[in-house]
Amino acid sequence: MKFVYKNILINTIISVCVLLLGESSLYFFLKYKMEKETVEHLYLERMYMNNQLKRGVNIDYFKHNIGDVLEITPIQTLQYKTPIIDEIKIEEKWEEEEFTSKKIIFDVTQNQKNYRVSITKTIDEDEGLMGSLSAIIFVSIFFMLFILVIVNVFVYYKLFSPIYQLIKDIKNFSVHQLQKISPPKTNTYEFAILSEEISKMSEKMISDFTSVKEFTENITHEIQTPLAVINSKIERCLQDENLSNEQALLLSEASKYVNKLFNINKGLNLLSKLDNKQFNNPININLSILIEQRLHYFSDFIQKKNISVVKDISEEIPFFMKESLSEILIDNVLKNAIQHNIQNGQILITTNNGLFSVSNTGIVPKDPTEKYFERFHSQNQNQSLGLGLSIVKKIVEYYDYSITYTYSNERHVVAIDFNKGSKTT
Amino acid sequence: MNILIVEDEVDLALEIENYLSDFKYNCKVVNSYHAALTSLNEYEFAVLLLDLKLPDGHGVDLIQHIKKKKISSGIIVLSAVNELDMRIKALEAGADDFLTKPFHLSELNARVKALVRRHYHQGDNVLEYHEIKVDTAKLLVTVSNNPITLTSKEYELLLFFISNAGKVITKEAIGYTVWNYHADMDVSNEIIYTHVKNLRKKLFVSNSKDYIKSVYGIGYKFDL
Repeated sequence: MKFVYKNILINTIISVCVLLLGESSLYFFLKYKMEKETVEHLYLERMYMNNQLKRGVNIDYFKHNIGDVLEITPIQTLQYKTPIIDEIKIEEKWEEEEFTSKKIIFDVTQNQKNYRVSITKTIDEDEGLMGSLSAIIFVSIFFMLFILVIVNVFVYYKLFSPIYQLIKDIKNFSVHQLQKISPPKTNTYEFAILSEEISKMSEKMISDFTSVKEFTENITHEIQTPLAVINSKIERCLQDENLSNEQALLLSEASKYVNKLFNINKGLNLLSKLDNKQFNNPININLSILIEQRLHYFSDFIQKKNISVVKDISEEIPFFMKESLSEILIDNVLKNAIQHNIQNGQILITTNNGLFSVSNTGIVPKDPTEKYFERFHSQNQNQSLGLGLSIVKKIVEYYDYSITYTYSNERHVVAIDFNKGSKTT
Repeated sequence: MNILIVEDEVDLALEIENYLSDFKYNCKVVNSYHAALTSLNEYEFAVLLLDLKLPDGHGVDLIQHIKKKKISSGIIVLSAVNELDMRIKALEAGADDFLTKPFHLSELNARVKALVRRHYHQGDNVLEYHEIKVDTAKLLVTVSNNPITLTSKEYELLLFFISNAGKVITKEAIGYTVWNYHADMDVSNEIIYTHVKNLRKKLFVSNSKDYIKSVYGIGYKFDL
């Protein structure tokens, strides 16, 4: 929910609650006041009556002059010297309404005769007035609230426009475009500071990204050349006729590790380029042709281990990828299936419902299969670097596809789902 | 045959010079873009080995300069940057080959020879080693004029051996040259061994002398 609406909703709920509370307390206050006035009035009537009786006015005179209903009944003994107040409800049949009235009962004496007087006065007429008064207040406050909400929406939108602009800019921000976020113009203090800081942050991100990029580029270059020098020096030593077997082995080992270093460097460089999103221009890849090509490429290795390759790749899976990356992807998947296969093993390659899967026989995994995607997770049984599958995963995720590694039915299965994804930039 | 080595890493340049000199190449080493320009004005070179990142200029500019001046040297780029874009850029500018550092000197040597063959011996692409002849245009191998049939890998192996005749060649170098950069698998050595064994057998059957010698712990040597 947008801040604007949330704020207005909260304010409105609070206002309505306060309004209802205020209205009801006003109602009860007025009601109380009116009842009190009615009762006071009844007392005044009584006082007036008593005064008039003392002056000698005949009691019958009041019958038509006091209160709404006046009852005078002769009684034997005086009972209510101090008056009592009673409340009665009268049902008006024709209006289907109930009226509340106040009644004062007191006893008087005139000409040695005792009378009981009860004066009834209805307060309902005044309640009607109270109702309309409340309604007017209620409606006007609601109208005010409504206007306030409308005005608030506009004001908030105006006030918050720099924030919305900033959010849009942050959403569109990509460190690879090397374009920092320019702070929107605002004279709201907090927003100005926020925009300024975010702008600075984006600038810092760009400079960090650039320096990391430069670092990886430099390190590749600066490490490759010394490696080339070491390699060439070793090669020269190996030409020596007088080399002992032990020395030859040592040099050959050293050369092997130089190559390993070179491959690690190459793999990490590729991974960091994938992290930095440095690949563009994907093209539509023909998977079956690519698989055939790469299988041919590995044919010596497949033959050597006497692996049988079963293919069911009649379903064409269209997917978009930079060509060189698609080759690295398929190479590494196949390489994994060959490298970790057993002698006389099997590789099954299938395409089905957009799912490309390569399964192979192999030893039972010691670790959870998801770990195979981690960098440098290798079983250390050979020259393998343990970067292949993490490169595969990175490439797959780079294009928003998904990949799983499972072990079931004594088969290692790497499956790439090409149904989602297809990033075209 | 003259070779100009343009490489700012002096040690590497000297090693290249050292290796190639054994194959009767005259090498000149320069360490900068401008020194390369001067040398190109003064002498003729059959092959130019060019590092792309030079202290005072970029290799691709030098390639463009060479093409503009119609200098006939063949160009092999030696780059630490193994990027397709850079490779394409260099090849588009007119480079003949592209080798990524670190490389094996034997591989570089084979590439130099292949370039020289393509560049200077049109119609006569024959590589000879005593009774063995390899016609690289017809992909034909003969021993004492009798043709023998080799698989593509055996053919590449033989070519690599003859190009580096007299030198010890490591199994890594063979793997990387003949099997292209995926030679880090557990069966690589066995595969190399099998193919070398088969090649040796085929040459032996056709009455060639056994030139392929195993070098303990390292690899092979193609020699008398």
